[in-house]
Parts: sequence; C-alpha cells; structure tokens
Amino acid sequence: MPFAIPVLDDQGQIRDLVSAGISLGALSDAVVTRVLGSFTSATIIDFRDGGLIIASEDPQLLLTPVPQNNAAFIRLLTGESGVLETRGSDGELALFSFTPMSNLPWGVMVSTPSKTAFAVVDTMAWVGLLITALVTLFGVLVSLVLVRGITSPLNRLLVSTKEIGLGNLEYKVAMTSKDEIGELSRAFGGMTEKLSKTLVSRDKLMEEVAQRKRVERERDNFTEELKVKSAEMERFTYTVSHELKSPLVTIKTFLGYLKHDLTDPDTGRLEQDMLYMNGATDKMGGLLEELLQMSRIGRVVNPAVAVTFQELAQQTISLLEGRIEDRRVKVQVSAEPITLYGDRSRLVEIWQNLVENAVKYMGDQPSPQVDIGVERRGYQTVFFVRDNGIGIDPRYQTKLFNMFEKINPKSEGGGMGLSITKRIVELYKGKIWLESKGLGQGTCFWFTLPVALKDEGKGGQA
Amino acid sequence: MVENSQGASEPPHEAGKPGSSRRVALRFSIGVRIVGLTILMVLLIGIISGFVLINTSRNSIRQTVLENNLAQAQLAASFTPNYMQVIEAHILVFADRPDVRQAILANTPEQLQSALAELVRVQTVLNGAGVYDANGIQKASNVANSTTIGQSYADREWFQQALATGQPCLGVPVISRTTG
Repeated sequence: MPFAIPVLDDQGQIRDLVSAGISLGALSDAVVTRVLGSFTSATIIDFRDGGLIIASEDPQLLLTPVPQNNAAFIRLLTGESGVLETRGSDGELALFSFTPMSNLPWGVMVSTPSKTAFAVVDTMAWVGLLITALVTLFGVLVSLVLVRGITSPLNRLLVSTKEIGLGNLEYKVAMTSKDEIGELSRAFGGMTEKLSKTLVSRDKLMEEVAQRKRVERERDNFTEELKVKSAEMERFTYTVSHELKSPLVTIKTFLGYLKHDLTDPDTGRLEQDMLYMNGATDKMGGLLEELLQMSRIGRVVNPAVAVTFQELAQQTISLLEGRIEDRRVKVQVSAEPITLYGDRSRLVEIWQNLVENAVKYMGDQPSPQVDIGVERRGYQTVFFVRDNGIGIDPRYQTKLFNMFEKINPKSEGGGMGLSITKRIVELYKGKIWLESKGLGQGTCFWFTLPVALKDEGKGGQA
Repeated sequence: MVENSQGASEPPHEAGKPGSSRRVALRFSIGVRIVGLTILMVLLIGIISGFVLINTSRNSIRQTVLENNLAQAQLAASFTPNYMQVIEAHILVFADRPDVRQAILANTPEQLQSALAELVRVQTVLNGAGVYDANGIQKASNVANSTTIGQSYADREWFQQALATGQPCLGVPVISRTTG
C-alpha cells in the first residue's frame, strides 16, 4: 500500500515525491492477528474501488474484492457500524460485527462462525436429548416392570373371578403377596368359600323344594285323576244299574204274569211270557257283553304293529261288507299314505263303529255314501268318517259318546259303540268330536290319534 | 364359556391365558396409559424447557459474541489509524531528513538508494520505497539497480493525488511492481 509524501523545494514547489509501500502482511500481523478468540477472524477492508480486503488472516484474501453477497460487508461499505448474523461467502452462518475507522477510508469486520459459537450449546442440546432418550427408555422399562407387578396379580384375580363366575367355586386364588392386592385376593377367596357353602345349602334347599313341588304336583294330578275316575265310576255305576234294572223289571214283571198264568194254564200266554223274559235276559246278556268288552280296552293289549290307513279302512269295509251291500252304500277311502302303530284290532274297531253307525243311520237316503278320509291341519293329522245320512239333532250331539246313549231307543245295539270308540281314541291321547248341521244333513265324525302316529313301534295300550 | 363385555364368548382356559386380549386390554388400559401419559407430560415439559433453555442460551451467546466482536472491531478500528499514523510519521520524518532532502535536491540517486534501503531495513512494515520526480518517473529505489528506475508512475492514483494536493497521500493498495 503506497504512502506518498511530496518533497518541496525552497520555493515551495513540489520537487519530488517519496513513496513507501506499507506491507499488507505486516498490517495483518499487527492488527488482525491481535483479535482475541480462536475461531474469531478479523478483516480490514478499504472502501475505495468498491471495497478491497487489505488485512486478513488468510493471505489469499488480500487485495480481493469484498464479497457482494454478504450483507454485513455491504453495510460496512456504507460506513455503518453494527452486528449481524448472516451467511458468509462460504455459505455458512456467522456472527459479524463491523465498524468503520476514523481518519481512514477503512473498516474492520470481526466474524465468528455460528457453528463454532453455538458448538457448546448444540453439544449440550444433543447430549441433553440423548440423556432424555435414555432416561425415557429407562423410565418406560421401569414403569413397565412396575405396571406388570401391579397388573399381573390383578389379572390373576380377574381370571379367578371369571372362573368363579362360571360356577367353579372350588377354584382357589393363588396369591401369596402381602400387599393390598394379596389382601384383596385372600378376602375374595374367603368370600368365595362362604358363597360356595351358601350355594350348596341353597341347592339342597332348592332340590328339596323341587322334590316337594313334584310330589305335590303328582298328588294333585292323582287327585284330579281320581276325581275324574270317581265321577266316571259313579256315572258308570248309575248307568249300568239303570240299564240292567230295565230287563230285571221286565223279568220280574213277567215272572208275576207267569205265576198267575200257571194257576190258569194258557199255553199261548205262557209262551208269550217266557218269550219276553227270554228277550229281557238276552238284552241283559248283551249289555254285560258290551260292558266286558269296554273293560278290556286298555287292559288286554295286543302287540303294536305298523298298519297303513288304507289297510285299516279296507279291513273295516270287509267286516261290514254285508250291511254295506244291504243298504247299497257307496264307501270312498282317501289315498293318504299314512302309517299308524298300535293294536290293530282296536284301531280297526274305531273305524268299524263309526262306519257301522253311518250305515245304520243312513235313513231313506237314495244315494247313501260314506267317506273315510284324513286331513292335515297344521301339524295335526285328523281322521274323519262322513256320511250323508239322517244327521244328528244338535241337542243330542254332546251326550252321544256317553254309555248306553241312543238317539233312537228302538234301534239295535246297546248304545256302547261310540263310548268304546271314544275310549280307544283317548288311549291314543286323541280326541273325537262330531259335526252335523241337524237332521237330514249328514254327520261327520272327526278324531285324532297322536300316539299312533308319533310313537313308532310302541303303539297304544288299547 | 366366558361371556365378555362385547357379548362374544370365549373358552374359559383362553380367558385366563397369559397375553390374551383381555389381559392386554387391562394392562394397556390402566397401567400403560398412566405411565405413558406421565412420561409424555414429563417429556413434553422437558422438551419445551430444553428448547427454551437452548434458545435462551443461543441468544445469550449470540449477543455476547456479537458484542465481543464489535468491541474487538472497535478496538482494531481505533488501533489501526494510530498504527498507520506511526508508520506515516516515520516516512514523513525520513522525507524531512536533511540528508534525504539534500540528496533529492542534488539529484544523487546513489545516496537516495542508500537512504531508502536503510529506511526499509529499519521500518520492517515497509516492503519498498522510492523517489519519483514531478513527472512520475522513478528516480531511486531501495533496491540497488532496480529495473523500475526510469519507469513512469504518473498514472497512479497516489501520485496524482499527492501532486494535486501537495499533501501526503495513502493510496489504494496495489500489487507492487517490485515485490509483486
């Protein structure tokens, strides 16, 4: 850097110039290297000619232009003094402080790289972050161990509770710890034990109550059955007595006539008396035979067999063939493929009595017809025997199934047919009823036989 | 079968099996939630505190470094003119020396060369010295038989300014023709 001094002659005119070059390296050594700080650097710039670096630690930078992309240098070139953190010419952030010099067109720039300035803080931050991560990890591990220590006994207690909740009151809560959870488990075990004892007592009590109720129910059923049987027996006794009394009165009456006729012999009247007495004894014998037959129902049992509905109907028609032919009755059988199981002779007896009645009470029907069939009503199978005969007055329809009940007293038979039929149907847990719109409207008997249709191979005890 | 809270059923042995869904649900629903929440809170507070602390420290360090740098810059700014003044004074004294003035006026290059060499030798911050006539032609140099003697420096800014003002002039640094 030149420093020129004019040398004047005696007249005060410039004669020559003495010029000396000041070494920029020496200037750098004298000024720049005296700046304190290992990572701090100083630069002196000359504002002239757009700015030149005239002193720097880096000899390569001497006499190079001031970087125009550095805001701090730009501000210094304007003569401003200040501080600024901005990116240097190398692109790195740095802390710049700058001030111009008085009496010289120069300025000083002192800079420290931000990375260096904040190295300690950044290192502390990273170390802190690492320590935080390690402490967190340690905390999580310790917490998990502690949580496991708490939740494991709770889980065991939960499992025990579930097991006991399922009814296994013998399940023991395996807990030996002496902390609060252990206390809770032992209290829970004690409670379970007491509950178990209470439940055992309750079960016994409930069993006893159930047994008593069962006995009471059986007793009630038995009493009810007994009442029904007693009423039935009473009605039977009354009916039988009444029915047997009639021929006995007849016999007694004609015995009196016979005694009188023996004193005044009249062969014709004697024969007439004996004929009436004989008829009365026949009637009595018939009544007794029907009673005997009824008493056999349910008592005398034939082995159960499988028989189709068509076979039963055909057997019925065969047994009544003579009467059917005499009355010229047309009999139709439906073709339902149904198999029944039971005492075949008793089953035939049902259809036989109903068809026989239908033929018997056909009246003056010019086209007599009997339909033997079956209908499905929901889950129930209902058999029927329908005729177009004289029909039944609604007044008699309810008592037609009673013993010795006859609509027409002059008709043949003892009035036991429908009673026997009802008895057989009831043995198969079925029901029988009739439908008739009145006299001349025909009759239809309906009946069910659930046991004969469901209990395959067992049959009823008919 | 065990009826769980969702209404689904599971075998009893599975309900009690370690690691079953029910146990995991219990563990994570009570323990880990509390621990997780606590750790999260601690971490959050720690991170925020750390961030604030670091930021405060950075600002403090930034401020300190900038102030320190500014102080050093101001120190250098006050030191450098004095330094330069001393050097300039030395040169002024040299130029005002009687023997130097006599040599200049008498135009004795050998004598000037000797004086200039002594000046450069004594003042180590100088890397060269010379005497120039009013036309900018170098008359003498501190280096004996220098090739620059006789060359014109009339185009130099320092020469023109010193000639124009008659005052000492500190020129814009240039690469020396002598020293490079």
